[in-house]
Amino acid sequence: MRRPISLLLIATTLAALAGCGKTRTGTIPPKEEAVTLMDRSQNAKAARILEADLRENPDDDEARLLLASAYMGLAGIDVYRIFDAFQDLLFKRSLKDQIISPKSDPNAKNPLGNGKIPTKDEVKSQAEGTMIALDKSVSSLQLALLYLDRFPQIPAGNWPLVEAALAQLESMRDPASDTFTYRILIRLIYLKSYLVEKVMRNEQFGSREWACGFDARNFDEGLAFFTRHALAIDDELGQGAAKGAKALGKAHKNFGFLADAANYADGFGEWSQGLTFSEVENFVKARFNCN
Amino acid sequence: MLRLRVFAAAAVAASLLGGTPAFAASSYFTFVPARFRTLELTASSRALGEICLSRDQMPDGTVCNPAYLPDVRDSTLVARLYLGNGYSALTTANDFINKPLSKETMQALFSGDNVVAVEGNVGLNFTTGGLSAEFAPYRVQYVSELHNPNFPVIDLHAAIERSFVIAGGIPGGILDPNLREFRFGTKARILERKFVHGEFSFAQAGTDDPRDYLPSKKQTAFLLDPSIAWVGEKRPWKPRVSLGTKNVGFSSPSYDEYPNDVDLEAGVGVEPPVRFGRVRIGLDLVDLFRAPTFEDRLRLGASYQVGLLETMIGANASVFTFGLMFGLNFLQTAVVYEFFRDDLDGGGAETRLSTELSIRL
Repeated sequence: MRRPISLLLIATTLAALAGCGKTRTGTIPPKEEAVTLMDRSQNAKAARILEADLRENPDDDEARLLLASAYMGLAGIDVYRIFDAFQDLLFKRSLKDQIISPKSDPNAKNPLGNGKIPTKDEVKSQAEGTMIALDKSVSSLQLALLYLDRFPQIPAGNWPLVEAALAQLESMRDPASDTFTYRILIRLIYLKSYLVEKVMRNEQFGSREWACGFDARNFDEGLAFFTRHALAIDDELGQGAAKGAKALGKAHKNFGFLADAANYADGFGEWSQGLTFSEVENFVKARFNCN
Repeated sequence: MLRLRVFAAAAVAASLLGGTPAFAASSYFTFVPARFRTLELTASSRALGEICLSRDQMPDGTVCNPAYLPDVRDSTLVARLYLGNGYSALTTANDFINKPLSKETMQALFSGDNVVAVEGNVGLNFTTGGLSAEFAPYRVQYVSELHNPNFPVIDLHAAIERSFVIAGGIPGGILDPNLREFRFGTKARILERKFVHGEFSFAQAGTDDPRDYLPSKKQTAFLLDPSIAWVGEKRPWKPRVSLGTKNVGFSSPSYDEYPNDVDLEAGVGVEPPVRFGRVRIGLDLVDLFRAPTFEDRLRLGASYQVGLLETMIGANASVFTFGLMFGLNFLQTAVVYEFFRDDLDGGGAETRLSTELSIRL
């Protein structure tokens, strides 16, 4: 009698093991299969499945969000790793208390100074106006980098993946509030990576040494990039708050410096209008007595 | 002949646990995990694959099918504490349900383990011939799972219940001598549950009001589970067959997560004679009208008792279990190892270890 009971036990155990260990291919909907693959860090395979799914269902917002996340995974961004940085923004003290207006810093009420971009009546020459605008732009970029320093950096080789992720998120038909938060997060990481690698390049950014080797074309491209994403963040903060993300509404006020920085960048563009990159570089070198 | 039946039982188990998962993971998380759709949250019930109608007396001395109450010979008072998979998660679940949701609570979910699951039940049960009553002041079931590390999304289900159950049964013989092999019984359940159920992303957790995407719900219910049973007492295998309905009554309000639908159930049990100890095998057919697949209707449980020790195995559409119960005169301990299909993870395999301590008077 003991033997049949043992057989029952063994057979049932094996049956259970067979059922529970079954691999999930073919019968699982594409999005669910993609999520499972991303859980296992198989982002490339997940991206292929989602790309194919979107070719058949181009209006599927959820698939686009997942595909964007797969691209970010491929770019090497693990949200868990930046959670500590991100939670300061969304969960704990406001950005204003930490960076823009820390109570211990008497000069922090207006970190960009009281000056505004001068009008043509206020300066003697285009060179002077360009230099003032450049100075403001550099200050604003330094401030931005101070804040962005907390975020991880993406290697330049992976930037196309970040662009692809943003493109997916921007093409969603009816994005939810968390989509806007995700877009903002991606832009912040992207901005940090771009500024560090393309604009500042080394720790001498803003110094005389940096000015003497000033590359106006590169700086102009950097400002254009910064302005595009800074204004996009400003817009997305507003849209996310309107969708119910109340914390984004609060953060919107604290991100005012991004919009200010974008204005300074615009000011530099206006003052340097009509000048060649070489002429701007010469103004800078003359200002810093590089010769 | 016996061996053929054994293989037949194994085939039933194979059909229960093989094949395509009945509940594939949903990115919208619209269902309650299968292992949470349970009436009896005890080690005995879990270890026996949650069979009820096919079983006369559970290993802990309680009776699930009220129609078998007339067969109870002894009176027992059992106080028990069941805990499945971890103590720390119990606090998390309790905070989540009973305290105002905060961003810090949300944050803690994302900072912890990827899977947090816990089940707990505290209950006091009195059983005597023809009657039983149980008060369970606290029953908690909680699971949260994180998915997609690139854009974390959390699936969460948490429910806290308290219930009072009273059941009675009579032998058919008192109605008509020709019905002496029949028994009739019914169980009345009054329960109150609070639960939250939903899915949200880590970005939502940081920016949105938690109550917007994870509202807390409350349900009260009064439900009857009448059943009828036939027992072939004088036959060598003591076969028993039972038919019952469940959830006759009302729930207010009605929620998709806990529909409490009326349905029909049946159970067949046998007690093969063995030289030493006692073997009982039961097969339940549950939710005959509403279960989505054939496998979801099947539950299988068997136990072998020798001396103070009772070994149990069980299987249903989502879980295979193995349990041991050790009982002294007044103290019982049980350990159940569950090997189940994780509904929230597209049917991936997970394991749980549950323990129960009960004092029997």
